[in-house]
Amino acid sequence: MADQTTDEALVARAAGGDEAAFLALYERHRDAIFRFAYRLLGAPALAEDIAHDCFLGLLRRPAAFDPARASLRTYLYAAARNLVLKQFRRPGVEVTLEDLHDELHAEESEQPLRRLLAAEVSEAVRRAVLNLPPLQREALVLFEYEELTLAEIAAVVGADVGAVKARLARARENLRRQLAPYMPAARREGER
Amino acid sequence: MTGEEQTLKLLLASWDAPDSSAHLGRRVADSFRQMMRRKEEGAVMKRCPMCHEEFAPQFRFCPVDGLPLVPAEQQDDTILFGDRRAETERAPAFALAGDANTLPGARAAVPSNGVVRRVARAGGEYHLTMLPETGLVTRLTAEVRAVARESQLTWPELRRDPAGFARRTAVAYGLLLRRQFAREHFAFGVACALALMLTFGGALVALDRYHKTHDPAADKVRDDLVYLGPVTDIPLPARDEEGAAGRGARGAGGGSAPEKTPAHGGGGGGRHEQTPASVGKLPPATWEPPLLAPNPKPPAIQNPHLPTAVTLQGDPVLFPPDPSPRPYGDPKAQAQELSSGPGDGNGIGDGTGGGVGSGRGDGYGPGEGGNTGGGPMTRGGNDTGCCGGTRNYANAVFTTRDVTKKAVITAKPEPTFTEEARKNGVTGEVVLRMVLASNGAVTNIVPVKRLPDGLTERAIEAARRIRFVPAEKDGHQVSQYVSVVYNFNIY
Repeated sequence: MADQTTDEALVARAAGGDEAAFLALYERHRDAIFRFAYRLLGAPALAEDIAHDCFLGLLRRPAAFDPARASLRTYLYAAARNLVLKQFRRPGVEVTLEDLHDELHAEESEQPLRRLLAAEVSEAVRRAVLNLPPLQREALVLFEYEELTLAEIAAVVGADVGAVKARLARARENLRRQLAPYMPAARREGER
Repeated sequence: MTGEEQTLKLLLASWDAPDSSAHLGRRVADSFRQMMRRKEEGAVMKRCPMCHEEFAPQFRFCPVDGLPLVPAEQQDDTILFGDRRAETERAPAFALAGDANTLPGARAAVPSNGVVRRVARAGGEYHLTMLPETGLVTRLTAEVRAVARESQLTWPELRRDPAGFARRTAVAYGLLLRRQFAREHFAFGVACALALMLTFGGALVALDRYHKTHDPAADKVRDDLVYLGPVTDIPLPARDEEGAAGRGARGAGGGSAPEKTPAHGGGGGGRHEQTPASVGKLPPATWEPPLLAPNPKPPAIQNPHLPTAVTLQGDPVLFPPDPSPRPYGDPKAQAQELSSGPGDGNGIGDGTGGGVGSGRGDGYGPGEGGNTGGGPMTRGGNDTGCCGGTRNYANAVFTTRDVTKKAVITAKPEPTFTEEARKNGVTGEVVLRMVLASNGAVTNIVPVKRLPDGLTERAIEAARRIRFVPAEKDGHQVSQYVSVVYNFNIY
């Protein structure tokens, strides 16, 4: 509750031209919004654009944020989601593989073979998530990665909880089918 | 949670998202400052209601969609994607981020099929209008269909009452015309258009008449062209043939023999005169040896007691009597001065005997023994007779194959280019067919292949200056056909 109040106050001050308040808001929510956009789009550059527009949109119409209905993060997720969907509507969505390169060079301490295998699995998961239909993808990302509750997801995507659950179930089914070759290995990894 | 779900969670966890870059923070801060500055200046950004692109305040239309821009504050950031049904269902569900119905007018302006986009005139301001995107063929087809539909509607009416239909149509069109002319400036515009059309048409007619009455000889004044006169195909004299002799009875046959046989024979004569044999008529012929040879200048015999007819020896049908008062002579000779010619034997010509021509005997023409047709005398019959006797080498024109010695061109001046042809870059060849006449002149020039811009005329002019040694046949100088090619090249 204290966080919400603070968010609301920060929004009010930022709308009045307080740069420090705006930057505080940005620092507080940028990672979540950026990660969410990235997992929906699969490209860091596009995700940055979405995060940028999302925060500026908050300033453009600060009155649109109603703290009585949802938290600021939920509002920002919803705004980011809409911007992402708008991005999908454009012909020729840009998708880069810069992140793949980054992931391949992560975790230098691991063994080379394991690192290679982990990179392959990570890329397969990324491809599988990005292959999901947009509505299933956003539900899955919000639930699995952003750990929002079903009610919060329903508020973000503008659907009821039942619809969100159905989308999640379909998304999981899709993923199981796509990631079937990696399932036994992952299970063994989990048992270890 | 089942094991499978856990496995899936593990797999999903393997995909890490990168951190946002520091550049994003700077970018957001810059945008914030810029926005605040604009807000202080009172400037309002505009946005396209269709593609949601933002534009500076001075712009009025989206260059992509052609829609009028609206202030960005009115813009809806929560327009969803996917199918339109889903949008309308979801849009109001989350009202936190804006109202989806702020621009009903702009949305209505975009048709679902995207064929015609038209922005209505709103608030007295003219808005951009997009032209139809349909192709010419589609529009033409639509027009034709409309006409066909109209015809289907009016045809029964026309059949039922043609006169009434015509009257009503005339009245309707008259009313329409009157209404049109009642419009401001319409009559003036029509009058101007008519005047323009009449002026244009009159100018065309005047130009046509001017060209018709224009004397082609006026081309003479041009420096780059020389008027050589029209090229006409002058009919050539009929070619004389050697061989089949005489005029057959009633036009059929080379003599009086029943079978088809060319007549042969000939004769000649002369009285050792210096001048060549003169032109004249032939005496009639009999198969009997003649008693009296023809003489262009018969001696005056006063009161002859036993008149003797002048005859040749030959087929009578080939030598019909000539009642004209002309003196005797060689019909194919050129000389007018009466003479029996330099031959021998009292006949006429340069042969020997009592006949006429260059042969030997009492017949006519080259050959011997009498009769006519060349060679030793035989009686011809039942053949188309023609032109026996001496050959008219001077008037005949031969092809290269027929002459015994071809004409030799000693000088062939090359034609020059015309300025016009040079300007137009005309190149190619002109082929002329002409006669290298026995008298050394070039006649009957006929272009076979032409070139424009006066090059054909230049070639003809050059051909007239050709110098040559005439062709020969049987020792006589004769005329010969030749084709001459003139190449026109620009280097």
